[in-house]
Amino acid sequence: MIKAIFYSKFDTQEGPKVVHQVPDGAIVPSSTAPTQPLFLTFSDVSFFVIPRQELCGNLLQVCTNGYRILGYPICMKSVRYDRNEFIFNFCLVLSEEDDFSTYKSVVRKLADLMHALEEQSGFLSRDFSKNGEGKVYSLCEMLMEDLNNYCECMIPIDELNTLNIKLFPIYPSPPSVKAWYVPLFTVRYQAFMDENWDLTMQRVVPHINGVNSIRIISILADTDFSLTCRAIRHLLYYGCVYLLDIFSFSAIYAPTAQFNGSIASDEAMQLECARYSHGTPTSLPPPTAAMASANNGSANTIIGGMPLASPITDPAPSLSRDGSRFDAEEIWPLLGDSEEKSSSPETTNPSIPQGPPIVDGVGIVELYAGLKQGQSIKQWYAQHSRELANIDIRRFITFGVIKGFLYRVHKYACATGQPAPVPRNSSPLVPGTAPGTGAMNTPAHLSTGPSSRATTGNNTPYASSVGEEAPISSVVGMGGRSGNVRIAGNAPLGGLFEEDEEDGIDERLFGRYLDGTHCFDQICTELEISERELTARLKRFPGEVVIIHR
Amino acid sequence: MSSIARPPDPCLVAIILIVRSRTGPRLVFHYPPNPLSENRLKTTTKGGRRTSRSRNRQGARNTDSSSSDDSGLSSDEEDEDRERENQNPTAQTIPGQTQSGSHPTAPSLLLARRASNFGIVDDSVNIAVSPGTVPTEPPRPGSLGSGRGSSLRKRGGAGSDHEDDGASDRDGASGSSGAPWVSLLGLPGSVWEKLLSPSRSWHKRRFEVGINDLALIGWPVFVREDGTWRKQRRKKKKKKARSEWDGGELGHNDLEGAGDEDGVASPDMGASIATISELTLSPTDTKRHSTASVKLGKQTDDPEDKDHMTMFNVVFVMDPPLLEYSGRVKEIYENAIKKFAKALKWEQARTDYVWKESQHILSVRRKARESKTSIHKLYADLINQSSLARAIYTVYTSISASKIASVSLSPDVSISLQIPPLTSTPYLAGPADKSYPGLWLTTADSATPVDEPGIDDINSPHQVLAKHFALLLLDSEASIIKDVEASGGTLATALAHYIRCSKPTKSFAQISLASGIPLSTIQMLASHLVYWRRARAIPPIHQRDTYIVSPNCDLSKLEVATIAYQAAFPTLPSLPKMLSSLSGTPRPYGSFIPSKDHKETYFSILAWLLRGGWVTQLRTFARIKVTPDIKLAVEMALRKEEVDRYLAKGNPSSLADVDTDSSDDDANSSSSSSLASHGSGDDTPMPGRVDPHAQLRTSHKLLDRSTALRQSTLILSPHRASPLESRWLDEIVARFPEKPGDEKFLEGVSPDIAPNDLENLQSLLKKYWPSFLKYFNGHDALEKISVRENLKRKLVWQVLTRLGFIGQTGSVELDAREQVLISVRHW
Repeated sequence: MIKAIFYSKFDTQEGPKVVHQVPDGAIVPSSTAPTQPLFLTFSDVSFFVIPRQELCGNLLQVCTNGYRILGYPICMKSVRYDRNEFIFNFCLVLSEEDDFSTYKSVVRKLADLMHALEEQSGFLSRDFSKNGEGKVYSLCEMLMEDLNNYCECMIPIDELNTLNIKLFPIYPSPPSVKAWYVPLFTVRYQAFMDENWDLTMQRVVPHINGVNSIRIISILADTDFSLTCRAIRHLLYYGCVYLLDIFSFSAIYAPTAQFNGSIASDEAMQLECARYSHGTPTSLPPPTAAMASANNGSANTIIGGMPLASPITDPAPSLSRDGSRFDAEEIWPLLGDSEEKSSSPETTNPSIPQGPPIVDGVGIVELYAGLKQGQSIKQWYAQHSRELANIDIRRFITFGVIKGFLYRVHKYACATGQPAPVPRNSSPLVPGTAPGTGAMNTPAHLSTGPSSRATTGNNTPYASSVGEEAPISSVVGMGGRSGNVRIAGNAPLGGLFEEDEEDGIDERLFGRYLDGTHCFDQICTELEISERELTARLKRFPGEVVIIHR
Repeated sequence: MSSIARPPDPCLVAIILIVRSRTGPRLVFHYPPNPLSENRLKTTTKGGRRTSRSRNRQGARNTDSSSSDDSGLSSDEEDEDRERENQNPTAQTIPGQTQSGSHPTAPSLLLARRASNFGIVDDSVNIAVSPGTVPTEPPRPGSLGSGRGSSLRKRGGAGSDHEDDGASDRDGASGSSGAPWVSLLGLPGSVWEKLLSPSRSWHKRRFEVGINDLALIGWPVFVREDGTWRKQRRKKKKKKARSEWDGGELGHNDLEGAGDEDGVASPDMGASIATISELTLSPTDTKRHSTASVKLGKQTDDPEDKDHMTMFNVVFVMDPPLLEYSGRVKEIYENAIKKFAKALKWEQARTDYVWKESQHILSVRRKARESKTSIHKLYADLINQSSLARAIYTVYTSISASKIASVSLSPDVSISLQIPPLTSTPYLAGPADKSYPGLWLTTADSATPVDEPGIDDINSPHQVLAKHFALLLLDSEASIIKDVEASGGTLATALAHYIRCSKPTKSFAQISLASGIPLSTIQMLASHLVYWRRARAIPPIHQRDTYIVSPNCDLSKLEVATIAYQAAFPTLPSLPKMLSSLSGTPRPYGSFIPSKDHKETYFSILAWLLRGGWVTQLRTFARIKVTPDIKLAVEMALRKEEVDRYLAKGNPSSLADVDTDSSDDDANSSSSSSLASHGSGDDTPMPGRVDPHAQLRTSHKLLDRSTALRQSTLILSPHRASPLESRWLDEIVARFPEKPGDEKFLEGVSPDIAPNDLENLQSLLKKYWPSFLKYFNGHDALEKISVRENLKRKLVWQVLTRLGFIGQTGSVELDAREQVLISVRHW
């Protein structure tokens, strides 16, 4: 909020002088507004408002009396001026604590425009109007009013010049993005994308779905990788996307310290989670049909690989249909069938409406609380399969990551330089190989093929199988090393694994990843191998390799 | 995923000293000689600070680059000389003291170690990293460049065109001599003199000006009307009251206090020296005395002696990133600028220090100009000869490297300045956030709501450490004790004694009991050590607690740390192996200890890992879950009471007490909530909180009474339970099984519990429920209970396990009626 604007110049008789001020009497006493209290003592800051020549042409600011004054003094030299020079400064006065970053450009622009106007027509030096009158004064007045009220202004000055200013918030520059990050839109890009967008962006955007990693996106979109990264960073800058990790069923997630402050105490967030992750995966279209149709409501709009532009029929309308009584049941996911009948206490009381067993808000909290270090999603799912029957697991996990109360536990391989211990698989120091917990003993991804899907029952959400595995296999295909694997899908993946013995990855190149600073996601993405393949390679690695979860 | 507190990043570009006397303002000294050009170098060269002296200045006038190499070397040597000379044990009560008498190279090493607080803290590592002054964080790219670029806008090499007559006269600034004050940051010195000597209205206030991206902040001090620099006695009471005990500033405050008492009241130097040296145990007071008199003698010859200083202003030049501007400026202003200027003011009042030193510096400069000394030599001479120049140099180098600056203005006046670093964060950075790997990730604050409700005042600068915390030394005990003893001071003996007694496995309270040191003294000493970066307050290490690899650990340091770890624990599994074994399913640390004999060693390993931020404690948090069962029972009971009351009174009044909601229901709001649900169903959820209206809507409309009864609820703060929640809690307790467990339960219990324990367990549950209740709020770790309530850990965890905490061995047969907790584990 601008508190005041004033125009000051160096008067050859009087020295530094305030010519116009808005509001009147804010900077120097004014006969027309005697009651206005002065914001500051002008003589204190005049050394800076009209500084020595050397400082002119720089953005200056000074704090005094709780105010911050931003100015951009200009010194113009010409024979038409007394003493051959004309020094002026348009200053903005802000509150000292306020963020001033957005006003820096305003001051600069104002100074540049005035400089030009003065050069063209002596706009300032020929302004002899009294304080509170004239073009310059009304310009200041309009500027302050418009910027404070509308954050922008368009003030015509003469037939040639217009003052156009808009306040832009300043955001931190986006972090660099990595090939294995997975972007997810926070907005519906269809709503604001148009054909004027950058071409790379236009190609990249349809592949951003919360499942594809940036690497995959660049391949699917057939765009240069670095340009893809720049496009993603651009979206990141404006807060249009989040960065997630590559979801897989062998991944480990655990709660963060935000857990209790968010999901565990916020009923609205629990509801939001239920709505976001509610899904009956069994009735979704088969994985190969990546262009999903919207037959099952909102849950699959993003999973499908192609967010839907068509209007969605989701559970929401039912809320208004039935009034508020039953909507909770529509939102909360139902429990799966189980052999043991839950003894429902409501049966004893006729006044309590009877409904099917649901996973309520607390149930969601319990599910999240069940995630922990050292336990893969697959194991967690096995323990809670009934509760998760009607929950889209990927969306459920993603929700937690977005809200910040879950984090992905990444795996890092570290070659210790010691010779490989003889009983490789029984070493208790390698959690990855610990019986029952490791990715080595069990299929690395539930989703890598039909057989592994079968092991976890028929309710496994397919989302990850399309989203993650398929593009990786197509990466391999494009890499040219396994020519027969070209198309996303389940079938060719088996072939991929047969080939891993003769893939072309140099041992030395591979060894470079084993310094403990590269997470499995990175290694898999950059070497274009699956996690299962990676663990197999780690086993074969000459020398001891330990796996650190972080 | 957001709102990460930032560790100090000083963004310090230069420090400028301006004094004003009758003859006008003078730019007396600034360090570094060529700001910004130097900072840029830091990113590439290790020894940037020194080599950069030879950097070309901005603009066209630099000519001494040819001799730069030689002089760079020579200045190196002089630096060492200076450091050696520095090592006279100054009066210091602060362990942050960097000069330890016996080792000529010790200062920089110590500095380096302290700076690596966030990462590995170990001697060998530090040697490996750097023996010099390496900035803890690489300077931000970009902002320096932009600052430089724009601050010089229009100026370029044009400074010489407008060369101020005064400046060139005084300093003989023919370009060839390269006197740095002729032009600083692209502007002539006279411009700075004008700009940085403000009017009296800034007396003892924050003086802040900005030039493009640079911020210049100072705390100008003006001479009083009566020509003195200090108010007379009346005011002092107030001042002392204001300066409450303040962590490690002990030294500073003591000295200032002493000055207030004696220095001013009697102009007699002898008296004040006596008191001060008594206070600070200074062995050099005779020396100081003599130097003072020598200086006095010298100054009397000075022609400018008649002149008097009317103002001095130490201005710190910064280039903070735009988005962090106010925070950074405030940080350095509060912690460094103000304190430094106050110390100078005090010395000025006492011995006319600033003015004398300024004249001394100016005379050295004059001589250097006459003899055409190179700028490197000149700076070396200045820093060598003038304690004020040396102080500014020290403050600059230390603060800009986020270290502790130990400054001695005179042998018996020294202060330590630092910007307190961030020691821990509960937030884990996401991929899109700026992260500080190696920073201790925890929610374990040393002051917490349950324990001591009076203390959770975050605004107090130095909190009293909670008595149930322990002290983790960040360096080896021996080296800290050595530093403490070397620094002398009033606290030294007490500190050394305490450090010897302290153990990271024992809380302050326990240490107090064991050693006989009063708890308040321990807390004071401990927070002193914590403030000066020698230690950290942690929950006591215990073998039954669980530790995981910190998600925030800095794996890029793994290689270096592995070597250091190897040196510290040669016969034990390597660091990667240790981390790897802590990577699996979390289990108590005790299970990693192979035998009783290894216990001590494994505790030191754990301390080592905690120190470097490699691991963090996994703590357990719980809330009470109220099932529909309980709710229904309470509802029924309430309705019955209602009916009874109605029948008794014949007055159909307050059914509303019982109702959880449903007073202002209408069709509009329910349809609007349906819209909301539509929106969030297909949109990506947003991080952060939902707007409060939505929350209200959901609790009041969507979950109407009947559905609310069908769903479980978590009690958010059991010790402030609402009436309805209290009824629920009562019902929960009422449902705890009365009888001790049956045979099945007996079998399940681990055999090492005495039978009478077992019999009591059931009643224990009821006994401890009320005292445990307050911890079930989701914010207080259950690990605290045993320490706080002074109970056996095993007992506490048995009770908790019965209540539904499933973390450890789940062999016990549990009663569903007791399973009322939902627990979650994080750091």
